[in-house]
Amino acid sequence: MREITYAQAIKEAMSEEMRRDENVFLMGEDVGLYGGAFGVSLGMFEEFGPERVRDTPISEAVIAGAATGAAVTGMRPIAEIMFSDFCTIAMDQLVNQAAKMRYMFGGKAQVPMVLRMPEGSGTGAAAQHSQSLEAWFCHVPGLKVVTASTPADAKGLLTAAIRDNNPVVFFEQKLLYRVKGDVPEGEYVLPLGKSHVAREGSDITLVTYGRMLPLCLDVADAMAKEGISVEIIDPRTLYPIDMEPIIESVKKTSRALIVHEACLTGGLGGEIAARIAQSEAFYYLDAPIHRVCGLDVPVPYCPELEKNIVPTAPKITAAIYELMQ
Amino acid sequence: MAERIIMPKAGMAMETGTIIAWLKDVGEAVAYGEPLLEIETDKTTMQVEAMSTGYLIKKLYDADDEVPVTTTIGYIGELGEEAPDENAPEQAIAPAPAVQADKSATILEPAQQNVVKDSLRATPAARRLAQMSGVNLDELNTGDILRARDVPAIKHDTASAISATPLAARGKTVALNGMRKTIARRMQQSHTEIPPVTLNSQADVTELAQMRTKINESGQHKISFNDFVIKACAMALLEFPNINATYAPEGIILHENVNIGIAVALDEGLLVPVLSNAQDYSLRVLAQKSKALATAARAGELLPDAYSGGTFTVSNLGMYGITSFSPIINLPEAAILGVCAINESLTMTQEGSIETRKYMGLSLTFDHRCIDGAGGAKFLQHVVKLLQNPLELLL
Repeated sequence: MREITYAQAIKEAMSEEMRRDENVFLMGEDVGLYGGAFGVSLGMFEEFGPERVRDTPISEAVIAGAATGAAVTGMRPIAEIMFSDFCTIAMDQLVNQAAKMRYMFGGKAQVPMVLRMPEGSGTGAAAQHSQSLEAWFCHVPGLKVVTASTPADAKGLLTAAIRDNNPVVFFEQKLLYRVKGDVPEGEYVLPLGKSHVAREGSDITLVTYGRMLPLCLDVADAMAKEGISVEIIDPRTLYPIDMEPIIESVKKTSRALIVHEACLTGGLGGEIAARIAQSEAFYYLDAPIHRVCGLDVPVPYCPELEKNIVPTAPKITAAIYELMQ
Repeated sequence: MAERIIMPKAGMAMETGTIIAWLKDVGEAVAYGEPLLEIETDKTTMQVEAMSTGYLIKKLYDADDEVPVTTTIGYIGELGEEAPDENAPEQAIAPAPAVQADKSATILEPAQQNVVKDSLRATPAARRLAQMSGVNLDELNTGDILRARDVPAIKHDTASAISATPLAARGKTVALNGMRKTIARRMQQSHTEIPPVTLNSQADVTELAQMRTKINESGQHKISFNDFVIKACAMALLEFPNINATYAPEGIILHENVNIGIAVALDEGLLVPVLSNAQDYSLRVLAQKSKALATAARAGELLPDAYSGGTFTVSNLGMYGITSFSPIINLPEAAILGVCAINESLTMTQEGSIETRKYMGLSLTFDHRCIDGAGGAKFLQHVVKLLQNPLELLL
């Protein structure tokens, strides 16, 4: 299998779907001639032309609203929000329109759109360009929320998102854009709503997603040398989340740790912990459920601080030792 | 000001009580006179009532804890009120601010170091394992968090037996109330400790029945067949001190007084109030006393003392037509007499004619550790003789 980057995998998914289905198109700020702020759509303007790779005004409300309208009237738009932080401007169109229509029209209207949103810190882009806001969207029934942790997942999950008839918020990991990995050529679809066991283990269940996955895999390798076997589960779809493999895993390991970059309070980790605690897995827990998450602070500009407000290998390792006590 | 809840001294002989269950949770409102908890003495179970109105703010002991009488076991106070520090003087006028500030210490410090256990902290996995293997986590409690690895491993066959047995596949489970637990524990103890022997006999009670009819026609106080049996036993036990006894490792204790327990059936269980010094009473007084005891026991009005000190028990199933049974000995007694139904049968008299006679079945179960077969038989024979010559019972 050939190796390509996470960004290339996203471009491949979009391009393949646009070749397959003429209703699919891409829109966003500088996604055309410029190739996107992170270069994800480089070359697509040349292949598909200005009708299907459309530059928009600098208005996230317009991007989300136009995408919703296009989707309702039969197109399958992929809309890019340059930084997920700007979703606040798109929120009304997304939350009050896109998420509701299929329900309010009794299924007669479909909203097959994807909102691609790069998220996360680590690029020195400071507080307004570094957030991880996925939990907000998990609180809005009618949306699906997906994030990809590897290049292959990016291709498979984005393809599935484009083909889904619901509005899908697809979080891309800025720090993973340049990461390379094996990605299947040709059509590759990963089902939405299915968690994935990224690493098998027996002592502790670690639930994580996004750019924390590669970090946790490294920690798990180090832990294996210490004799601690870490099982890692990536939900892939954050809403609706597939808890069954997580619950089964916790029943096996009797310990649960949740790691995400997004800040702790109100983060998805709380929801996952609650669902574990409310499940059969509760009776198997041999330690309190732990979370290692971003600190509850705006992302600092100072690089040293920025590195240390998110989960790091030492923090995750410490939590694992605590759980294994 | 928080009011203490103490383990009551409900009987002269009561030294400790075991908490069966709290009937109120911490934070729950309680009214004066409302039942607060169920306790078990060595004889019976009873409810402890609230002596003040307020909220249950603290429990110092949990179910299954055995506590000396008059020990403080909890507090009733106002919502949000802290239970007082047990080490502080009982009537502290104003607690020192330092003490008040250090709430955590006040709450967490056990009142009496050797008595109050740290409350149990166990993981769900440890609790689950303990339940599966029948381990009491309280016994493992060292104050540290108990995890699955702290629970002794289950034997494999036990585990498979548990999983292989469907729990209550159909039907329902009735929770054990305090009385049921007490009965179960005491019967189990008696059944496992005592090698019992049961002897069955019959007494010709034709004359006794005639005499009883006459007495009951004239007297104000009705006397039951059971009263005659109790009287006969009281007299016989004086003759046979080896039956009116207790087996103990240090020796066989022969009791001076004859204290007869009378088994009283309730819908939900069984009580055995004790008629003390039965040897001192006439048949009429015995009848009055036994009736009063049974009535009070059914109404739940008896204190633990009324169930203490028995030396022999009489259990009557005659009204159900039972012809013989093997009652379980009420420890620490050495014997129990089962009274069976009275049935008529044809009997040949010494003169050779046929008569209808009434016979009462009697089943004596005794502790073979201190009473041998012949000894038990002689006693039973004597009881039969007294019942067959009822005038002796009136002397």
